[in-house]
Amino acid sequence: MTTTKRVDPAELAKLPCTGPSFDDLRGKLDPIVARYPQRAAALLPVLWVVQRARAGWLHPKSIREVAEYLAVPQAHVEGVITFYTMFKDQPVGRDVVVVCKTLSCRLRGAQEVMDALEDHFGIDMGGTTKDGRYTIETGECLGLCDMAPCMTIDEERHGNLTPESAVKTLEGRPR
Amino acid sequence: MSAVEFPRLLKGAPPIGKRQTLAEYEANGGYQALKKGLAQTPDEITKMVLDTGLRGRGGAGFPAGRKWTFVPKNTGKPVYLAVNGDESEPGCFKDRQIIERVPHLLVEGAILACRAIGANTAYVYIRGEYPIGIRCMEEAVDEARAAGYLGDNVMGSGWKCDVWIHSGAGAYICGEETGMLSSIEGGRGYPRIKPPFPAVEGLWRSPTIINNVETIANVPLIVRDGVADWKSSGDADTPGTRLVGVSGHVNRPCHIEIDPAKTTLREIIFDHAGGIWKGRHLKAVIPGGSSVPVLPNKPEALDVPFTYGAVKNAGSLAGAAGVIVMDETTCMVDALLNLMEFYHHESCGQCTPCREGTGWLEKLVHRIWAGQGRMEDVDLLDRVADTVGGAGAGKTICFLADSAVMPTKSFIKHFRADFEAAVRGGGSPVYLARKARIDRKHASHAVGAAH
Amino acid sequence: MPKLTIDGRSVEVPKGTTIIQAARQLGTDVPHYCWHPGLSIAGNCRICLVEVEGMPTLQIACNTQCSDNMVVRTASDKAKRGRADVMELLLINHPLDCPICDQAGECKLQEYSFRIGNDRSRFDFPKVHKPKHVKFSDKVMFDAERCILCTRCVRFMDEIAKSDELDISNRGDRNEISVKRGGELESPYQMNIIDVCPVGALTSQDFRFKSRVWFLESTHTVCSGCSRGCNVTAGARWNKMLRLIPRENAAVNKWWMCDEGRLTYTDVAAADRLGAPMVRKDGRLVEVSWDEALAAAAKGLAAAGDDLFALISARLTNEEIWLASKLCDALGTPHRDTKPRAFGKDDLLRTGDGNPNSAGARILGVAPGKGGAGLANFASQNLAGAALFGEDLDDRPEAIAALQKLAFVLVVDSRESETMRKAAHVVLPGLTAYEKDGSFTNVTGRVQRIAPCVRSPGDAWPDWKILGWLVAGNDRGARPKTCAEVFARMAAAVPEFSGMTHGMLGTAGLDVRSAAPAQGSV
Repeated sequence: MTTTKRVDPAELAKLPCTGPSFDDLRGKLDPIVARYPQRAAALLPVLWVVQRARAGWLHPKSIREVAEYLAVPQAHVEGVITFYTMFKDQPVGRDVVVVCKTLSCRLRGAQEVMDALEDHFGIDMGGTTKDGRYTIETGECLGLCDMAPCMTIDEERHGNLTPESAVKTLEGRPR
Repeated sequence: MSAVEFPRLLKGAPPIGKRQTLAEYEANGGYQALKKGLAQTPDEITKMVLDTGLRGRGGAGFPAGRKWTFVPKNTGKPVYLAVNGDESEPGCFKDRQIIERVPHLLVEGAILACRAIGANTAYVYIRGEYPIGIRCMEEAVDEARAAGYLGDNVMGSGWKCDVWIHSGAGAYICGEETGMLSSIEGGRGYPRIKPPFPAVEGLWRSPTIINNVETIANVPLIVRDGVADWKSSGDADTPGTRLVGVSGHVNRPCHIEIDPAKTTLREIIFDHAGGIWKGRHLKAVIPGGSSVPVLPNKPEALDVPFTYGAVKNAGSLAGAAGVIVMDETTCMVDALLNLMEFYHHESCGQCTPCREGTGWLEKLVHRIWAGQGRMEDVDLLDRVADTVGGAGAGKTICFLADSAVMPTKSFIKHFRADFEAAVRGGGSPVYLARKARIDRKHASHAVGAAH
Repeated sequence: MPKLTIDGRSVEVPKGTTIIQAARQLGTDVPHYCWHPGLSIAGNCRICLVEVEGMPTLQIACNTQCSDNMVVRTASDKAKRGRADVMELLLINHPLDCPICDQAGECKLQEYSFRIGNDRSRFDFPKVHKPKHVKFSDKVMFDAERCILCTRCVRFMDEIAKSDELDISNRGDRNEISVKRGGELESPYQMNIIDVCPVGALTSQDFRFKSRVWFLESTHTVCSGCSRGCNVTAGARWNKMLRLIPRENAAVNKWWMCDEGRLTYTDVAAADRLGAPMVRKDGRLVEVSWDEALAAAAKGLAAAGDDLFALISARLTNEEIWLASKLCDALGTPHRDTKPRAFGKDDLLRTGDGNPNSAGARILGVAPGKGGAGLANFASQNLAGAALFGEDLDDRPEAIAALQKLAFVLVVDSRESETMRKAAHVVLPGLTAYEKDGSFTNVTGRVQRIAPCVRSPGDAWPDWKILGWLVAGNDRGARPKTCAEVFARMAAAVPEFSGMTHGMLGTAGLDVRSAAPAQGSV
């Protein structure tokens, strides 16, 4: 079984920062900033836009650009990113799969679903599949307890999972 | 099996996966309450909500109308409404029904609430794990703005009101009302010390009223139908209907809208959710979301109406109405470990007792779970829980630590035998069943580490 | 004015006063980590829990405002139990590495653990590990494992230094104080976070591992870095100065000082300190006795008379400047001046004036008199001699060249200089501001005592003694025996200091009597 290693933070800047330039994102960001009496308040929504537009994670360059754009200290942006589990400061797979691990799902077999995914893809929870397609992580209660056990892939929801159906779902999605 | 009925909030709502459009909502009587409300004074709207006795649906049950009266007059500062849609309490998924299916009801409620408290801006905070909900709300707000229900001139009244959707990003603590304010301001979701109370100094140090999604969604119904009609459901303790989510070991996990005075916890589990799965028996139920005390399968716990007062008398709390059901095969040590992992993971880390204590609680439960526990660990766990917090301990800024303590103490109180069995038997049955896999994984990681 | 009872004693406090402040008024210290009188209230450490009658839960004393008839118990069983609980939790993941921790001896974890903690921990698991040895800058080291996340440092940087360089990263028990990735602290006030840190998480690169703090000899004195005159406590061991830390003075520096000032003590141990008087013989400066040197100085000064240029440093004390002025008066020379000295400048403390006693020099009239020359033009005045009290002119080679043409040059200074080597006929070794008694008048007109923190090197004398002897001349009875005596004579003669004595200045100082040169304030 392999464990996906975190990239040494000092090395992150050497990775390419893919996606649109920050100037190309301004058209989307400026109206968001206008919703708040203070620029700094737009930090979470701005990070969301930048993360989605740029390969699903926040490259050191993105962090610097957001800090500059909102006139907030870079240390603050980093503090916020590391507080919220859905902001990523490390590269992720093309899709982030979140398998709910909390009680309602656990009671109905979430652990077995996670075991099956780990075995099938040869990774630990939190890791990225070798083909770079999925980062599969656990999440705390996703609020889909009526379809437990469940997992999400952005807006996609998959519920009433079995170990087999979970694997099949991920393998069966269009590439 | 009784048919799923939604008497009020979700009446006429489209099925899961579909959003009620503006046209559909209007055809259903939508925005008529706003029209009515605009003809009323703010105080008249507040009085109606006060008179209904509507209690906050986020969990604490504080009377919504009274909260609104806390806004100080003439401060010269803007007033804000913050709608709490961070629904992240394990076992709760009721607000999602409103957000995704009848978002206009929430938008209309937010506009009316703004009107009542003297606000011109509302922020609706929705957890990042609800991307569909966020999209549904964004679309609803855009439709409402295009139709003139929002903007600089609401329905031609000359009054200005706007509603913005603010997405969370994965932090349970942002469901704590002041943690949510920190998050809306662009910060880490740290709860704030009180005083100052948010009604006096909330968003950007301005007066801010914070209400749960379901609370706000009730406001248009109150304004539209009047106080007496709205109070025809529920009782004096818990007026109105309640949205309830049922999950865990039931045949039909579901969400329902009930008359809390006329529906017992037993009926919720056995009628609405179809009873215990696999023909098994009920062992335990958490009635209000993971933070409330667990109840054992006893008539005095189950045959009570689902009102705030009755569930409290039964030894727990109706909380945010997330009913989590556990069958006879459930190892309560495993269930508690799962919850302790949750609270440890979600502690914001600000206050000493919570930051340090939630991890300690998890480690203690884990030791018992993994067969390394000693018999005295069960009492130690109970005592450490008291060290960390507890209902009304006041040891921390917010209630997260207390929310970890309440399940811990109630699990031991009602299911001590499970903990003692885990100590005697080499661990939780769940652990024993997975032991080989866990050991294999540890071994492979140890090898990996050696390289 | 709410009137309340704390532990059975009543106290009346202004509206808005918190319990922790009211308790301090009664001399009761409610344990606290995150609360600091100079910072906003965070309420996160939870160690200040007290019982308030009528309130169902324990309250934090730092954020609970006093109200009329409130009954507070800081030492009830319930309050003590609550605090002991918090204390136990604070230590479960703390490394307890006190034997190698620089904070030992002035650590609030040690203090409160001793006062209110349990004698054992019930926690028997591996501790959470975090980065140790994190370099925040060349001045500050950070140990995340020792940190109790009180956020005093973050709040200091935000609220006082106005430099949001610190934040918290991660969540829960993985929380860490952090600077931006790949960055270092840059604020000129960053070392204050070492002082506000109640534990050993932030330590001084300059001071760490030099001495256990309980072996330090502490002296209350004043920073000589700039004209603010921040109050400090100096720590010395083996007659060596090891650190300066700010000392609270609400009228001057509150609880803070700048990094530049904090490191001024290093001048004391400079390699080029002067330890013996010297007289130039056959073109070379040679060590001589004080008697011989003083006689040579007196002779040279008398010969120059009213053609003497006196450069009187504004780094000298009020007493010394007064004596130097008297000497000039006796010689009848109008050629007097000070030398400006640059320093950092901002809105917090740093004044931009690197002379700690500019105001004193102004009050005492150190400036070219009628027809007198100053630093800028003395060279062109055909003068007969010069006396440099506490200054050199190494940064002005043309001035040294001018000095070399004079018949007599006296240098009184604590360190060697090019000026002295090239131009002095007599050299009298004086002391730094951290080795002698005296007083400075700061930028807002506050007269403050300085005090010797270490003994002088070799046979150097305090400058007031040198000047006192020169002024007294052959009248042995007129030689001052103490600096306090000089101050008393000055106070009798100069209205700005009238009625003051060293004793009255105490450790907090007094404002000058008449219109003070008031500019800038904290």
